[in-house]
Amino acid sequence: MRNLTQKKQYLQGYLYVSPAVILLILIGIYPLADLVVLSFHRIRADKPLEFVGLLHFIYVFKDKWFWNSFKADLIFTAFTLILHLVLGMGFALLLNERWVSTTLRNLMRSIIIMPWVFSTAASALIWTLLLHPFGILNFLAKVLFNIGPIDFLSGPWLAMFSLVSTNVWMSFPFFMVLILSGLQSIPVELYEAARVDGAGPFKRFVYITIPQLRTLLGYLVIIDTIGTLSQVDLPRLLTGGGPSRFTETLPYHINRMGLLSGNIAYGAALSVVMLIFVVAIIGTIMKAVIQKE
Amino acid sequence: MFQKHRKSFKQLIIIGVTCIGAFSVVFPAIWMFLASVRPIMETLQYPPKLIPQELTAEFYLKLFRKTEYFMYFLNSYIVSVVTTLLCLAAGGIAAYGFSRFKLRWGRFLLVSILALQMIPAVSLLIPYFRIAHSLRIYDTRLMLVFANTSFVLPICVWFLKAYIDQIPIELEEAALIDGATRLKGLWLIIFPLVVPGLIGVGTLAFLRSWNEFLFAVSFTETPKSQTLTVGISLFFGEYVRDWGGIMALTTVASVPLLIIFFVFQKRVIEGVMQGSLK
Repeated sequence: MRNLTQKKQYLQGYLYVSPAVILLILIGIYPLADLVVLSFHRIRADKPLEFVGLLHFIYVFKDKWFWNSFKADLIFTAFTLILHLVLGMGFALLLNERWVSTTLRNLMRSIIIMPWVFSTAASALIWTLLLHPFGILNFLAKVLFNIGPIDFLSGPWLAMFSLVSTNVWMSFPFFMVLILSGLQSIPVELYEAARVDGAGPFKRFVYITIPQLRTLLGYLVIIDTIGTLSQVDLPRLLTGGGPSRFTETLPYHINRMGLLSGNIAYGAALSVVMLIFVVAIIGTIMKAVIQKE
Repeated sequence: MFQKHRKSFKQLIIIGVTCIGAFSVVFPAIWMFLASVRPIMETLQYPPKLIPQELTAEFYLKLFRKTEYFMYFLNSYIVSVVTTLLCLAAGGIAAYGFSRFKLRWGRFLLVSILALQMIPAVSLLIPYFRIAHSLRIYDTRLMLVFANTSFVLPICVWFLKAYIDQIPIELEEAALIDGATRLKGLWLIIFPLVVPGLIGVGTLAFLRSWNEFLFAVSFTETPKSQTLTVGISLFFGEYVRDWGGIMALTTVASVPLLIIFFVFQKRVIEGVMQGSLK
């Protein structure tokens, strides 16, 4: 910063940025610091914070229910991610084709995006009705596969299926919109050239579409993985942790053990563990994506 | 001749599959709406009938009688609007700052703000809970605005920065040469150009804030500050399930979003695409 005008510019820049930064400190940095500090303490009936070091963390790693929720979270996220990619890509490919009527296509697109509008509470509600013993899905199961009324929330894998379905329904539009925009930015000439060379649609998909979308897909995988791993709402509302805590994912476990049970300091420790976990995941995925380049 | 047939056959398949897919996707929502206008016995009858035999407005009428429902609606509205405006304002000028100035810690600050949305909400629950109690804003709408900012501000900054980056800097330079102060240039030139971006991100922000559940349910206790999502979730605790009533509430909760979303859809998608492709 040599001359005065440069310095003035500099300060001006910071001025514009400052409200957001202040908010960042208030709602991000300070709370996180509080969290970390709290996780090393214990709150007793006689007020003061008592320093207990790694007590909570040791308990966490020894707790079988922690590992259970960790496993549930991974299963939930893996299935959701796969279905997100399949549905998102599927619909995007269909909508990317040249349609006879663009109005019809845009209408279809608007309809397909619709689930995005519903909250987790609303989605859980809607699907509880659909999964009801007297509901539509049971009816279809009877008519198509002749299976008796199933309580979709009774068996562990059934409950997981219900959870994943509801989650995917609610959130795949985000995937689809981004993949569609990615598809539309792929130059048509690449496909033309491939067609001239005799490549069929499947080959074109594997050798052109996927590589072109690589960074976008990488980004989507990261965002989706973290988002799904962190989700509390659906397990809490739809399955309540599922039969015998099978669908009790990590964030819901933290919610239960921490805030809902009043054991705040332990909850803080769990939250810190979750944070570390999320950072590790981001790091791993980013490394995998960067190495592929 | 044969080519023409192949083309229309392909079209048929594409349109057909998409329609089936779209119908399956939309069906749960249609079913929700139907459940809000049919008597409960009919909604729950087995085998389920797709065509309603009897329509009733009783559930919607009941909504008007319960004052809590009105409060839920009001709270959702206030919290969402305030959060959106706050984040658009703070995020917008921050985006301008990040875009037009080379700040020494600029990169770090920007990444930090964006990283904020990566933090699992659960992890922020406990610190926010303590803050709410120590500032005595537990069970207030203010607390919800505060909490919602944690995930709304980053998206505003991100998308608006991408948007502003696209506006050629020559426009402001021209204004500066003409003697306008930077602030005036910002207001008169940049702002009108950013409006579409603001609408796009604003809609998204409003949507996410309106539908937020975890913070809403954790930091509120009475209809004084409870939002629609909390109201809907209360259904799950009860034994006697008023399916019709809750579906009516959910429909009412979702309809504003549907309308806003469809009106501003184009901008929202543009915004999402632009922001993410950076």
